[in-house]
Amino acid sequence: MESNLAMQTKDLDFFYGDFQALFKVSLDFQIKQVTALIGPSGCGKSTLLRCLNRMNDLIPDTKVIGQVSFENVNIYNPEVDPVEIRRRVGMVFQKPNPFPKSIYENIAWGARINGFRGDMDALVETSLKRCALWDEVKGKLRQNALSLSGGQQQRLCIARTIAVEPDVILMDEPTSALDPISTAKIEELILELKERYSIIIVTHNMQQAARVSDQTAFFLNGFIVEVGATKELFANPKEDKTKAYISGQFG
Amino acid sequence: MSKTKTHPMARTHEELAALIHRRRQTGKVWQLAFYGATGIAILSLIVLLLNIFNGAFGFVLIQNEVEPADLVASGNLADLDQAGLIAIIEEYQSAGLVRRFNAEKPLANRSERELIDLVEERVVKPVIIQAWSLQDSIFRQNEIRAVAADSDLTTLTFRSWVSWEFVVSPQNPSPQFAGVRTALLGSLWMILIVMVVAFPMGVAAAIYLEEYATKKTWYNRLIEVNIYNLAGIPSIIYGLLGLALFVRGMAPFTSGAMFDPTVDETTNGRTIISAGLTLALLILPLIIINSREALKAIPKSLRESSYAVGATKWQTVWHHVLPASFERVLTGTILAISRAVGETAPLVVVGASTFVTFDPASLFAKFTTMPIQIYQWSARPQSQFRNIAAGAIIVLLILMLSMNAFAIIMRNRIAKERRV
Ligand SMILES: Nc1ncnc2c1ncn2[C@@H]1O[C@H](COP(=O)(O)OP(=O)(O)OP(=O)(O)O)[C@@H](O)[C@H]1O
Ligand SMILES: [Mg+2]
Repeated sequence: MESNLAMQTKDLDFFYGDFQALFKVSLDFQIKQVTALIGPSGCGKSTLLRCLNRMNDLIPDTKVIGQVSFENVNIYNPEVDPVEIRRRVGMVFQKPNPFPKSIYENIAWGARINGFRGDMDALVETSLKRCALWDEVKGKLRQNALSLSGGQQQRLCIARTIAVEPDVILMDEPTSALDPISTAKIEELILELKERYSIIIVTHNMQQAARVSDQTAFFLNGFIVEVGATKELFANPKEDKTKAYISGQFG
Repeated sequence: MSKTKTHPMARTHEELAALIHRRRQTGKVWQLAFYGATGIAILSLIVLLLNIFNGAFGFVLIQNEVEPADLVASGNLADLDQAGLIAIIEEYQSAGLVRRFNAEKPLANRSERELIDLVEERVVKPVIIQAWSLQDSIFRQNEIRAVAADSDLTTLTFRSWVSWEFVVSPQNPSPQFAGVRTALLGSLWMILIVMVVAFPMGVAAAIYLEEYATKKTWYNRLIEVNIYNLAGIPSIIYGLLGLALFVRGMAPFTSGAMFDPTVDETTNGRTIISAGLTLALLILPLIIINSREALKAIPKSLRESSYAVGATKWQTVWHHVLPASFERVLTGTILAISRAVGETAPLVVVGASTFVTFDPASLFAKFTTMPIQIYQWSARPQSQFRNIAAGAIIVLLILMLSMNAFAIIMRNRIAKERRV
């Protein structure tokens, strides 16, 4: 695996019981770049994303065939600890899901269980600042996180994710539950976070994919149809299906 | 009627009106049925409460062996000083008895209150010769007063059979002096044992079954099915189990002989600890089922958010799932314990004592509990036992209500903490 790859999948098949959701997916995720996964509903974007940090392990009766490499190791090797993988490959969900605890604790908890010994207040502050949330919440760090607005909650979830210093951040439709202003803030944030982290984002919003991503992969029914530089893929898609999808003819 | 129906569900005005009418009719019938059910439930509750209060309050006719008026001019013993009271005791009691009182605690050292109690009990000796129900006391007052006026040396007073005196007095062969102290302490001990044993065990089992057990293995499925079945087994069967397992099988432990060889051997294993463990077993399945439902109700998203920052399963369960479900776990547990407090049959089998006058001194003491006491009193032929049974029921109800109130307060407090 080349050194400029954050992660890589090779011939990845995924099964929910007897149902195969992914077929021979081979994809490279560039380091410190944003990769967008697009495709119609049910094509397997979330499934692929959840394969990348072994979140699918939590669903009973699933099966993975093929490889997911992270730092030259197949994360599905039996000796790899999924807990460590999930710390190194963080995840932000479609619906903001902060812990029902204080804002402070939302950031601090992940760091604490991962053995963080440094200055916790400073960590909370930098994490919130990096997510452009500090100014809005600095006066109420002890308040319950659920009292924040949906957009603030989602930024808090991102702050929580970066507080444990991951290398890769997975985002599954992080703005689909948010208003346009919150969405714009998060998109801005993604572009900033790109400096330090490799980001993989699932989105249904073509403009969003075009705005934030460097690379885009188009999925259909569990197969990769086309993958390439975002500008290139949106400007001249090679496949007819890609063209039809990005021009809004189905999906 | 229109002949051209464009849509299969298109309807004329008349048809629509008929449809709505029919729907309203059905609705009315169901509504009536629900009102009826609620009404019957409320009615039975009222009848139950009335029945209890009917026995717990009412006029009593008291006959004194010696009238207080013969002892002190005012008829009020409290008007006498210490010396006066001692003089009365020495006058009316045999020399031997006075010596015995002095041996227990010198009369001169006793407080005025203690002396008055002694005079009441030993000299005045009030005896309730007749008691009336609350209903009679209200509606047949004239008759009752006539009866009272007919008999000499009696006083008619309105008595509340449930009183502080009743709560703190131990069991006594005479219903007039009997109290629920022994039974109440027995019940409280029992609650404590059940809580300490069944709560952690039940919650731990629920966590294992809900979070760790894979549903595929045959033994986990077996356990699961059996827990649901166990919850439905009649409680007397648990009594038999407790008798075999705790009273007989573990006698050296449950009789306390293991810790203190000089212990009273006649108790065998028929002790508080056996009873508590039996009831703990009885409600264990309930706690497990309730706690599992509570854990199940926690959304997947909370677990995922924890895993996503690199938490282990145990960290996820301990820091997020359990706190989030704790309100429900607590409610389920309190409900289960309330059930244990009310159980009678298994305790009879395990060997609750019929007559205990001493406070339970340890876990290895003979015991009785509130429901057992109520059962025994209500089975006695003398009518006054029915009065104290009613009084004991009120005490038991208050105990239950305060337990539930405690649960609600705890729950609100936890909910508030989680909200800040
Ligand atoms: N837990 C599950 N059990 C069984 N099948 C599942 C499960 N989750 C997803 N699937 C199936 O796998 C396929 C891919 O689902 P996935 O959630 O990855 O789609 P998606 O591309 O993320 O769709 P969307 O854009 O609507 O989120 C779908 O056909 C779906 O029905
Ligand atoms: Mg999805």
